Amino acid sequence: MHRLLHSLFLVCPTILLADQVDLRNGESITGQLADMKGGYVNLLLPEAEGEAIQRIHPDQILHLAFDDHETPLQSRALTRAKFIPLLSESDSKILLEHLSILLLKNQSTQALRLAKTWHPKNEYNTLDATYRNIIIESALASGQTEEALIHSQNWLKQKPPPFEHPQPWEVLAQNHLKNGDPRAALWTSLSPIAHGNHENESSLAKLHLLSAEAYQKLGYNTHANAHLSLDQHSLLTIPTQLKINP
Amino acid sequence: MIGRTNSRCCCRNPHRTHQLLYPSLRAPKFPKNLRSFLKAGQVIVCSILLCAHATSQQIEYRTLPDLIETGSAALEQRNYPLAANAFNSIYQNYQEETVWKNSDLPRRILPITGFASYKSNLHTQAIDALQSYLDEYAEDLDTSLFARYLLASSLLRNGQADSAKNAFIELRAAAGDSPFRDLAILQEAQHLPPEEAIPLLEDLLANPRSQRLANHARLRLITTAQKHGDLERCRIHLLDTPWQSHSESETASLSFLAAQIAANLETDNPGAALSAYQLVLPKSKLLEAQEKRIHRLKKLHRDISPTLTLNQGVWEEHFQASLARLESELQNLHNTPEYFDTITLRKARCFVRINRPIEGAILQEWIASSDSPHARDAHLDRIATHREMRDWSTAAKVAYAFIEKYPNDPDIAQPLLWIALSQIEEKSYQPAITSLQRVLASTSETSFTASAHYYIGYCHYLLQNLNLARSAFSDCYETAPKTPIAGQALLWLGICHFTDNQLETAYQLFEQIRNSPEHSFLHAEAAYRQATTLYATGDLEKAREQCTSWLHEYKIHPRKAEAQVLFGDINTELGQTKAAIAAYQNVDTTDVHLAFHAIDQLSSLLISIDRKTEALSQLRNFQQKHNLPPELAGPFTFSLIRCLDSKTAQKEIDQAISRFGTDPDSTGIIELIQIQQSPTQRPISNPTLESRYLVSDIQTHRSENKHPQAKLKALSLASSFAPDTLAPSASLEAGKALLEIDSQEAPAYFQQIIERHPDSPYAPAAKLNLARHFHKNQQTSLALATLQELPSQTPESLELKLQIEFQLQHYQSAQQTCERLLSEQHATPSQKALALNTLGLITRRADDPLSAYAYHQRVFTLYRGEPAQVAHAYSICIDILYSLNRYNDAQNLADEFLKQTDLSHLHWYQKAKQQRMSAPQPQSHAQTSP
Repeated sequence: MHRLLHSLFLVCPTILLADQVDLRNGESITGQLADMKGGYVNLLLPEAEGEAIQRIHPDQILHLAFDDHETPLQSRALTRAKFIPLLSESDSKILLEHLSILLLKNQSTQALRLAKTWHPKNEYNTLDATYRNIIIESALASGQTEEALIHSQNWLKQKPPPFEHPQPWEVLAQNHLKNGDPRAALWTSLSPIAHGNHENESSLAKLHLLSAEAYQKLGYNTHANAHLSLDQHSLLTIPTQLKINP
Repeated sequence: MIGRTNSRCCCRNPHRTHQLLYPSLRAPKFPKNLRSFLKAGQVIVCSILLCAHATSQQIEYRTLPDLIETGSAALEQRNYPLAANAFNSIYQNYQEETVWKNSDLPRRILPITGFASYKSNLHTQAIDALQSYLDEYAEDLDTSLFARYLLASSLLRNGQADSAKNAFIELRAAAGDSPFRDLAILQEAQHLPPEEAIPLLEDLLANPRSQRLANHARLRLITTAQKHGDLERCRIHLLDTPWQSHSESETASLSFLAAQIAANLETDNPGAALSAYQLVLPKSKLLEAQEKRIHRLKKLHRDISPTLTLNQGVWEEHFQASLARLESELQNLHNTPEYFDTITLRKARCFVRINRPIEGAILQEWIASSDSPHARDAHLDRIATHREMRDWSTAAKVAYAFIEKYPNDPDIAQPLLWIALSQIEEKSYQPAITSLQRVLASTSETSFTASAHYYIGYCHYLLQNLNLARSAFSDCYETAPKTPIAGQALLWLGICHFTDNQLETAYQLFEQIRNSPEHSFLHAEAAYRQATTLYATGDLEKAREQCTSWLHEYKIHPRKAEAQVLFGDINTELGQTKAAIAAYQNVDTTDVHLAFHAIDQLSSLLISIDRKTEALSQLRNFQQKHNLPPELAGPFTFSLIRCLDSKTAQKEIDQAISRFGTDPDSTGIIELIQIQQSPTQRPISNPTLESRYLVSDIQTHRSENKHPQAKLKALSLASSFAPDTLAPSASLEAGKALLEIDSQEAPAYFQQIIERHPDSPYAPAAKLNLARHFHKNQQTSLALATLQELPSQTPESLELKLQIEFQLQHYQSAQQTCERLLSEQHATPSQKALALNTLGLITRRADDPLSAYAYHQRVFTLYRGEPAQVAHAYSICIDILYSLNRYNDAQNLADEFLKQTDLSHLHWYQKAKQQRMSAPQPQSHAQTSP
């Protein structure tokens, strides 16, 4: 065992040992955060500390601080990815940053794979919507529309539904239109519009377009035009026989 | 310090003196510079101080440097009273001294004096010092503006409103591009009447010096305009320009202001109200935003406060004021009850009012399904919205859900009524009656009870239960005689009597409406119906007079075309051909069926007076003007061919068959086929048309009494064609043939007609046969329900209905059906005999054997041609007599029965025979009839 550890040092002679683990008892341990295995955080200690690897139970940990601010984003993200349940909110955001960059670089398949792995471990409600949006976006970008639909439907089952996030509604409405159900598409696309406010109005543009398309298919051209125009609140004729949201 | 001269100041080290009061943003503390200034040896000895103040009330023992030191230190610690005391002391004690006059002390001290005095509420001193500065010593712009602002504010606080106003005006003029201008306007506007404040604030918004102050000004402007009652101005400034995100603006203020403006806009401008409501954030978001805003402001204050120069100290005041206001708002917010559901419901109503009901329904459903105290109202709103969308089934569903959720709600009558109305729209009249009866049971409020009675009457009318309809309409009228609905009820009462051929009563009722001023909106309708009633009674002269009067009085009325047609019909019957022709020619309507009736009558008249060409021309005009619907294909062609020679007529027939024969909704095609001289070569590629030819063959076989051939051809319709390709007539024939052989495939053919061609003339027959199928398969309730959906009852449907009702032991309904069947003009003897026998059976069950005997007796007296019914009647009568112990009569009747050997094949005959054989001979003196 010691030989193994010794050889580990020989292989990696220049281990960075400046990460810090703050414990709940007030102590701090410095080392290199290696990974999380068997439910324990593994911290590589400096040679001077004796034991090469310290295993720490997550319940003991208050905070993790990574000393890698100069390293590329990808490296920082992948390092942190091993410790998602223990990350601070700002460290968690680094993962999302990385996913966004992957999407920008058209590496949507990889973004999807990573997002689906990381999202279930996310501890922050404030970041949940971002994850879900990235998953749907990367699924769409990699041509996996069925998967995007499933993720959208799962998200829309939340109570309350995410009215302030238009993407899942767009995917579902689009799917209804594709399946020849403009009524369902209409009710879906209008839900976030109905619940919207002036803060998110600009993000609803695509939903207005989908509503317009659905209205057109149902033969209500005046309503369709109203959704296409800026003036959303002009008087319209009453749409007849528009049945309940299926 | 004493004895030091001014030799080291100004000339040699000018920068040090300048640093006294105006440290740069990076230089932290002007007091240090002030101390440097002191060390430079500027200050005159305190002895001069002592002498100079010999005459003042308060003797100032501190030296000038001490006062400056004290004042500076106090200012640094924000101990404004102490600072004010020190600097005012300098001003008061030194203003006549050379050290004051020949130096730039005043330029430096006076603004600080004013500021410290202002902060210490020593307004007089502040005004004095600042005025003095501005009058004599003001040089650089920043300090001047600062001083002007302080002066104006001090004047305001000192109650010198007019002077303050002037000071602000001067400040505005001098401010240029400085944000002081906006600050000045905001302060000024606060103390001006609205009509002065508003233009000032609008000026600011047109060209703001500070975006943050512009938002304040915008909110202030809207608030001022709102208090001034200028709603349009409020709308413009609230909505016409986008707001920056809430994190930057006065979050809570905007939300609450927007809610108030929206409430005022709702009545006349729901679209703008909706936009305003969309500016309102939920309480949780407001709290979150407000807390963020306070946190950000505090951080900003912490970061820049130490670097603020004296001139920028006014921002300190503004920060403090803003912080205090925001924190107060936060506290108020915490104490505010939850309001967003109310806002959501109002948004929903706005959506509905601007004809975007789906969005309205979405929001209403959201609230209705929550625990909100507004859930109930949202529920009721949702029902109304779906009704507006004519989504009757959903409206009814939601109404049911309301009743389930709020079974004891005092307003339960409304949703029940809505359910009933939805059921009526869906033509479910019996269930609608049930719902309406629940309305009557749930409330005594006349508006509801009158409506309930009215619609019960309407449903009964449509179900052809005229007695019940009359009763309900009468109840409606008696409940609320002066109301519009009572007028409607009276009208329908008249219509019921008209339908029942009680024309005189109908006429009187219409007359009653015409004589009631509260029902003036129905006068035209009543007058029209009087004309039709007179026409129906055959009083043609009076009918013509009435019609003429109506056409003269109501030149613009929706009934005008119908009245013209009626006038034409009346004149036709009176033989007034010219007048009739003129009347039909004047019919101008978009109703193609009414137009066709007129043109059909017109062409008949023209043909009758040998003006065939003109008749043809009229028909062609009609054809060009109106897009001939398929249901008029046959009738129109028949009208046309009357005007044509046989060859041309055949061409028209061929064309009509070819054009309309493939359309399942066209009518009269079979009749055209039957007069077609050269039928198209069979089989025809189009299955709908081919099926029609087959139906024509079937009808021909039947007319020739070749029933087996007819039946075979009917079955071939089922076996050789896909059901959805059959014309309704063919589908009916196929279904009937399959029904005859008890095939379970029969219903599908009938359902197809009912669902795809509900307006087809074959739809009632399809429903009747579907009911027969259900009856055959012991699905009696379903059979009865299907029969009740028939638009009108025929003798055949009444016969089936009677059998089912009797089977289900619904004797009261069965009795009514019997009476209807007996009054049916077109009922067959068999059907009437059945009705009489059934009445007898029902009456006997009600322990009235004598009445029962009478009913049965009528059967074998009047309907000898119906052997089964006659035999049944005889048998029952014999039983009745035996049950009354009238054995002689029973035996005599049995003998009479048995003499009719043509009935011997029937089991009743055999039964009577056996009974008779076991009975003794009748006594001649015994009673022979009841």
